[in-house]
Amino acid sequence: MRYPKIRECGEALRALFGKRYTTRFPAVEAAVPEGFRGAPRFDEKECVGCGACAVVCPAKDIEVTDEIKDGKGTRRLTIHYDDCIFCAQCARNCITGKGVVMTKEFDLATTDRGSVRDSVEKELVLCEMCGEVIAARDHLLWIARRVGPAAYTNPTLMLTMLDALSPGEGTAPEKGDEIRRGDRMRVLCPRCRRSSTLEFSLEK
Amino acid sequence: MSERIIAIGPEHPLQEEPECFKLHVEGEKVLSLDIQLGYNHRGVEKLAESKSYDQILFLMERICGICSTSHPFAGVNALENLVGVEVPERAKYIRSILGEMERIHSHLLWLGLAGHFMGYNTLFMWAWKTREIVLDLLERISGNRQNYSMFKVGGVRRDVKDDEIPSYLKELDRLLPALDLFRGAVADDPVVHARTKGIGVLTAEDIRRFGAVGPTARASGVDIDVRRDDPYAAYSMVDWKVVTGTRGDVYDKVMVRILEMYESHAIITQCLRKLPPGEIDARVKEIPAGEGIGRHEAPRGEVMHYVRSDGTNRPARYKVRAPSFMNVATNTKAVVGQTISDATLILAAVDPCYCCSERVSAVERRTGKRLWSGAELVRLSQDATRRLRAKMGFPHEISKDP
Repeated sequence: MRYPKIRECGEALRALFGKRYTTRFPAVEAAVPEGFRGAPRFDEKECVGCGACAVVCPAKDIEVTDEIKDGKGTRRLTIHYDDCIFCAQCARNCITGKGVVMTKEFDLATTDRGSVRDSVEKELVLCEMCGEVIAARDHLLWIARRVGPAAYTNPTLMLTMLDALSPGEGTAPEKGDEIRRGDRMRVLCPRCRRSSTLEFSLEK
Repeated sequence: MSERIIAIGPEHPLQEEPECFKLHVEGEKVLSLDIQLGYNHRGVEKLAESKSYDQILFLMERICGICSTSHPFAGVNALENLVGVEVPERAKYIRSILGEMERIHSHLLWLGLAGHFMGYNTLFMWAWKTREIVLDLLERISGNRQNYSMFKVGGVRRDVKDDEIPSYLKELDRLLPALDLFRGAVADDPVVHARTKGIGVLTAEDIRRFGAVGPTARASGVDIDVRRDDPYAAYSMVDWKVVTGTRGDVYDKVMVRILEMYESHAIITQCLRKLPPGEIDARVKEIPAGEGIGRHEAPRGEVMHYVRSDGTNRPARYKVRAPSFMNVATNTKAVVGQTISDATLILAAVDPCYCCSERVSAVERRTGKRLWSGAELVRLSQDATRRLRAKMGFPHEISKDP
């Protein structure tokens, strides 16, 4: 019994004169290591609004809402930190690789549950004929950049790209009540594109 | 004296597996034990059927906070058994490093709590202080102290940085003096001996009858360990040995866990030194239809996952068998004939959950009158140590609850 007590005294002395083991966390900011998985945040510039993060999220925590008002569409992506499990799947699977970033923020405690969220808004491209949502504008532009000259094979991609280069220029053909063959050179949703090509050729 | 029932449990939000123990006692002596499980059914297996294979492993991580490597480890073993994919060497080593780090921090957590139950709060403080070294390392390697999100089918999600390995090794070497301290603290303390030796004895025969696994089985001399018996990851590529006890009492269970930490330390350092270069992911594209079984030696014993796929991106059936499920049953044998204050320690020695033992309350069977609360039972156990000390001629008081 004597020896264990001496050892305990040795430890006590070491603890007494050694460096303080605990940190002064709330008073002094705690350092987290490189690669720490803190709160995921959207990067307004890099996010293209594709919604891949919402699909892969194991906790179904990322909300995607499309709102159409006066012919203008807006997509809003929201991460709710109260349900987030900080697994970094959104950041890993982001199609641009930088749209969602894991920050080092971990001190997310709050009394207001509604405030623990991060969201990003993206403009939507709508079908010119039926008003259906096609994709976020940045998403189409990102695809156009990725496929290069092949973007010219798809009027939706090409027209969105040209519009981004010189917005508002050029005259669109008159829009009729029904879909005609000429409507193929418009920004169309897949269903309208099929009607414009297939049904027109079947009729004639 | 009439028989009384002491109910331990059933629920506590902090423990991994809520269960209700009902001790039938006569005076101080325990006559028998009823175990009731299933208080915290979360529907994990059903929930797994609604997640894609990539998402399942995050769910498995959250079965248990302490075993947040063990369950995904068994999960990837099951899925890779199904797919038949060969995992890159580097990923195997990284998996073993994580698995063993988890064993160290889990055993330290247990050791600290066992010390607390005995009224040896110094050990509790030491063990939890040392545990921080491992948790900080895990944070640097995976990005979080728990729930590492490292495992994926065919590899791991994050690589170990080669230039940081020397600093990891340096941190790990800080563990050894601490482990020596714990081994000494348990091995030469006469009070710990008196409190744990010959208490809650389980023979090898009992272990086989209950199908117990892990340190609980190894303390009784049953030499089983999935890491050696059915090698996976990097366990067959490094030198280590399975630690077994002989007596099967609480003392052996403590010693087996302490000695296992040395082995885990050896495995981690060898893995870090031998870490081969190369890919960390085999890029599995598709899970075919079929069945797979995966096993992993978790800190508490063998964990088994079964998965059946029908060729879609979600499993048709997912089954999890955790080691504590096998181990808690041994308590029905271990506590018989012991005193109530020892029973608290025996129930904790299996490492099922501590929080339930802290919520112990004693109820008289006929009147339903409460005799003791959880905190009082822990005090009862600590008083037993105090009495022992006085009898052995150590008049000083044991430390108060931290």
